[in-house]
Amino acid sequence: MRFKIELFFGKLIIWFINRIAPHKGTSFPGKFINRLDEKFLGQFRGMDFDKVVFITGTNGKSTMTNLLYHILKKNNYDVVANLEGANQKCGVATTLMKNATFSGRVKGEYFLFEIDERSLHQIYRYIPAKHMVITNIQKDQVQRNGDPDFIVRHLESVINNDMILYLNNDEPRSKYFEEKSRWVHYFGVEKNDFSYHKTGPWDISMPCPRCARPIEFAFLNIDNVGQFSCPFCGFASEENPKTHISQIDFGLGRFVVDEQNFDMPYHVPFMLYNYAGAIAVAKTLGLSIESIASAFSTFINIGGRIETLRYGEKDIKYIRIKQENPETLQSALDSVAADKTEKVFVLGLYEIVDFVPHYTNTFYAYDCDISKLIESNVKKYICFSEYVCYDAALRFLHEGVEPEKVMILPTKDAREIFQAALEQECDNIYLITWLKTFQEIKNFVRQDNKQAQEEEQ
Amino acid sequence: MMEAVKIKAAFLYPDIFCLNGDRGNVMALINTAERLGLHIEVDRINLPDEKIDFAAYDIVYVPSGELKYVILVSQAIKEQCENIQEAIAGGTVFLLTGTGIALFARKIIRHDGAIYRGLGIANFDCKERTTVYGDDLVFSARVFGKEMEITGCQIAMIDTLLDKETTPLGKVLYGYGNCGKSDEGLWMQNVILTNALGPVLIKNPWLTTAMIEGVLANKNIAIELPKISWDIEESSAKKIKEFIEKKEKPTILSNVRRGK
Repeated sequence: MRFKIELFFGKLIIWFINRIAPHKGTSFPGKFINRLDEKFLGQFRGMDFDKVVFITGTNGKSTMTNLLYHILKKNNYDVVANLEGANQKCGVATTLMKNATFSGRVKGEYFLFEIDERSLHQIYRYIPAKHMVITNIQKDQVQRNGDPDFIVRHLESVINNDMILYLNNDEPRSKYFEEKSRWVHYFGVEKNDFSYHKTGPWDISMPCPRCARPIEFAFLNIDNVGQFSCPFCGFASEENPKTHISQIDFGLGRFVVDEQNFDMPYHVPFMLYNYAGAIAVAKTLGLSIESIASAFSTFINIGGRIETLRYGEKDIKYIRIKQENPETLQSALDSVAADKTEKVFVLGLYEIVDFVPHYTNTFYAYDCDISKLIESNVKKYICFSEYVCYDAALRFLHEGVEPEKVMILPTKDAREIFQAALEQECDNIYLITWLKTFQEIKNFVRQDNKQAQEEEQ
Repeated sequence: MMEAVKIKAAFLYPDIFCLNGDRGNVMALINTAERLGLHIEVDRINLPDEKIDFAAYDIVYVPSGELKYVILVSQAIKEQCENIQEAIAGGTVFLLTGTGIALFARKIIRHDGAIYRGLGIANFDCKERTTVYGDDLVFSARVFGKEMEITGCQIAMIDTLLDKETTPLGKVLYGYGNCGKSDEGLWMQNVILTNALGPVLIKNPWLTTAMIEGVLANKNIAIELPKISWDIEESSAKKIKEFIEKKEKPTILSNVRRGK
C-alpha cells in the first residue's frame, strides 16, 4: 500500500512538472520518492529481467541507448528507456514511474537503461538486468570518478556469471570483464581510414589490466581503443568478435556487419563503437540483421555533439565536449584537425562546477594529443573563460605554438568571445566549449540574423 | 644555449601511470630548460622490469597512477630500491606527483584493509581513501632554498601519513594536502613528493627552475641563469586565487548534495 501511495505522489510530481516545464523533471520525482523509500525501485512489477538491458561505461552510453531504443521501436517493440540521460537511481525510478500503472505494473516488452557507472550497484540490487553492456572504461570526471580502476571496482561488485556481458573487444578495461561471466558477446570495429598509430615521443598507451605492463595497439580507432595485445601476459582483442564492424567507408557512409550493409547515421569514428554495441544487443535479443540495418538510416542522435552556426560569411562549427573527459576532447580536436583549411580555433575550457568544491582542473588537456590540430592550418587560437584561460593557453604554448598566435580572453561574456572570433580575418571558426556558453552565442547569432533579415525586408 | 651543460632526465612508466595529464610535467622540464638556455635530454622508461641506472640521471620523474598499478610497479622494481637510494644520495632530483607518491611509501593500505609494501624510501605510509576528493591546492614551500607558492589541483585518492620527523614539502594555504591538515607533500634531500597536479611544473615554472638550479648545484656548475618573465603563469595563479576566494567552500553537506 505504501508503494502505491508513493507511486501516486511520484506520478503527481511528474504531471505537475510536465505542466510547468515539459523537458525537465527527468530525475527529480525519483529523487524525492527514493528519499522517502530507499527500496522504492524494487517494488515495480511486470518487468522480465531477462529483457532488461543496462548500458554502462565512460563514453557512448546515451548514444548507444538511444540507438538501441530506435532499433527496437522501428521493429515495433514496446520499449521503456531513460533516453534523457538521467542515469542514476533517481532517473531510473522516474522512468519506471512514468511507464507504470497506478498499481505499479510496468508496461513494456524491453527495458533499456543507460546506467551511471557509480550507480550500477544501487540499481542492480533492485533490477537484476540480464544484459549488461560495458562500452569502455576511460579517464573521466576525475573529481567524481577518481581513476578508471576506481570505476572498474564499482562494476566488479555487480558483474556476475549469470549476465550476458557485451564487451568492447578493442578496449582493454572493458574486455577485462570477460572473466566475470560465461556469457560474453564481444563487439569491435575493423581498421579503417581514420585508424591511426601513436608514434610521437609524448604518446601514452595504457597499463594492461592483468599484468600492469604497457598495452600495445596494432591500430587505434579512437584514443586507447583499437586492436590491442599485451606482449607480456597475452591479454588481447579476440580475433573474431561476434559483432564486428567491417568494410567501413566514411565517404559513402556505409559499413558491414555479418555481410549486411548498414547506413552510417553519423560519419565519425567514435560513433562506430556505439553502432557495434547496439547491433550486438539487438542480435542477441533476436532481431534479424536485416531488420537491425533497416533502422539505421533513420536514427537521429539526441543531443549530438556537432552543430554549425552561420553568421554572415562565417561558419561557427561548435563541438560539444564533456568536461574533464580527455576522450571527448580528443575526438573534438581530431574533428577540427581533419579540416585542413585555414581556421580560427576557439577553446573555452571551464572551471569544474559540478558540485562543491568547484575547482580549476584543466590537466585533462595534457592527456590529449594536439599535434594534429597544430598541423592543420590554425591561424589563431583564442582561449577564453573567466579563470582558466591562461592554463588553456599554456597547453598550446608548451606544444610549440607561437605566442603571437594565441589570444587569451579572461572572460565568460559570450558576446565578447563571439566578437573576438568574428574579428579574425578567417571565415572558418571552430568552437569547443561547454554547452552553456554555446547556447548564449547561439542566441546572439539568432538575434542578429533575425535583425538582419528584418532590415532587409 | 649552454650546450656544454647536459641534464639527463628519466620519465618513469608513462604508459602505466600518467593518469592526470602528467606528461605535461616533462614538457615543462624541457621547455623551461630551453628558456633558461639549457638542454634536458629525457629518457622514457616504459617497463618496470627494466633495470635503471638511476644515478646516471639528474632528474627522475614518476607521474600519478592508479593505485593498483603503483603497487604492481612497486613489486616489480623492489630489487632496484638500493639504486634509487644511491641516486638520491648522489644528488639525483626525484619528483613524484599525485598517487605516484605511494611508490616511495613504506606501506600502502588499500580501502579493503589489504596492506602492500612500497619501496620504503621515506618514512611515511599511504592509505587509500574510500571517496575521491578533488579540489584546488595552493601551498607555500621552500625548494632548494627558494621560497615559493605553488598552485595546482589535487585528486585525493590516498591520504599521505608522514611520520613526525618527516619533513613536508610545504604548508597548505588552500586545499586538502596530505590528509586534510596543514602538511603538503614531502621533502627529503632532493626528493620532492607532491599531491599537486596541474601539471604542476607547467603551472609553476618557478618550481621547475628551482629543480634545475638544484641539479646545477649538485653538478657544481656555477652559471647565472637568465631572468625569465612568467607572465602567463603568474596571471593563471592570480586567477585561480580569485576563483578560490569567490567559490563556495566545501561543507559537511557537500557530499549529501552530490548524492552520497
